[in-house]
Amino acid sequence: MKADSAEFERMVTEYAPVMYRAALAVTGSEAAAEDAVGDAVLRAWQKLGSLRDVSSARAWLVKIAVNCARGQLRRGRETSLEELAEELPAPEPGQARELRDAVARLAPEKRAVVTLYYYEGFSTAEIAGMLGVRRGTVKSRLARAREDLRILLEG
Amino acid sequence: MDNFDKMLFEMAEREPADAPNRLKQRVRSALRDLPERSRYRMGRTARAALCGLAAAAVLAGTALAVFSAGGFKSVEFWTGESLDGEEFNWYGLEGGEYRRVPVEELSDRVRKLAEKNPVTDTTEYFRTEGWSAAEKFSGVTLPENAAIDDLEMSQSWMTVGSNEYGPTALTFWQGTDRLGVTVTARVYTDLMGERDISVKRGVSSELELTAEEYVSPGGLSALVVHLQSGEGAERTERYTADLLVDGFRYHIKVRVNGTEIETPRQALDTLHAILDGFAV
Repeated sequence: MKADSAEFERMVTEYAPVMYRAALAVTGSEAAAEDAVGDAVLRAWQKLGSLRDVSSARAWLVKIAVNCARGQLRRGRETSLEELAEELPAPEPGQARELRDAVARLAPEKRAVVTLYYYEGFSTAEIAGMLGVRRGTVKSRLARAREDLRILLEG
Repeated sequence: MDNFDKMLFEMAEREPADAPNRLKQRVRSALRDLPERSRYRMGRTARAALCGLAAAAVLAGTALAVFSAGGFKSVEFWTGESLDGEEFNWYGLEGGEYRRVPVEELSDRVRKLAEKNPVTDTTEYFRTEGWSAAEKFSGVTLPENAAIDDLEMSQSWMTVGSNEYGPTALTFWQGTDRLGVTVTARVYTDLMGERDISVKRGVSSELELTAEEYVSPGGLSALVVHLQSGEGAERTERYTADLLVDGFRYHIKVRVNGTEIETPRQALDTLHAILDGFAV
């Protein structure tokens, strides 16, 4: 089933939080993530004809949000990924970490796949489509992220 | 799935990442401000929905005027509600002599961008290099305009729109912070077929909208729209122009109270100088 204007408004409203979290994982910046969601709503509206079935709207909207988040970074409105990673506070030795804190310390490309996989429940194939990389790349990033998380969480 | 993997899923479920409350407002604002949607991109269902929306807006509001300007077949004004239910002033630019650039004339880089991102637009940023860099990148030559060339642009970019078959449209944008001027040029590819292209723009009814046709000394027609609201420090005012030049659709915006443009007269003169700068 395709989406009409009312359906578009409903699905954007419903999926805005997951779009935001995906954008935040890419940018590491709340302001840039909000801007990305704003941009994504516009682009999704312009591209609505390419959404073949509303049942795939969630993944479709997240993919657009991820692309817009990358656009935010390219536009130079925010600091670079490397700088963001360096800005994060260092973990305090011996202190147990919740997952969210640990994820925030991952490198950006690992942070994105972990957010989409563990928090949002997307498959590795769906994540590959969203990020424009091969499924094997998603799997290897997840594997490396798990190792990092194991160190961060278990010490 | 090993035990550590299971633990990560369980932890993620226990501590869902929240979105800030202001996101809801941001989304509502984005929905309210949806500026235009070209019908050619829509599927049949969505197209019918938007046509219905426009028709409902005309019925619910007031059809103000229909005339021809800017190289478009017709320009129509009406009042009606936005998707968010807010009262809006609308105008539509129907048809016209649009160029369809053959896809094979575009650069490999543009085709690869479209291939890489067939669902979403892809943007390349050229900072202050201006459209000359975008022309080199895309293989598309924009209409000559000495006045635009003379503007000291602060940033520029180019967006490739695409579908599953390849690039469908290129949008060139550049702006100057110094003057508060932005210029957008859009051109379509032959993947769009020969269907008429329709553009709809909407602004909050809090903005007073007036429009007129401007014809340059070279005979180029443009739809010039004047928007203003508020008084004193709250005053918002700008002029825009919509026109077709050599098959490219231009949208030019000049803001009053740009750093070096302080009066409506200066803004209008700047806009006219840009329109007069097209070599026709």
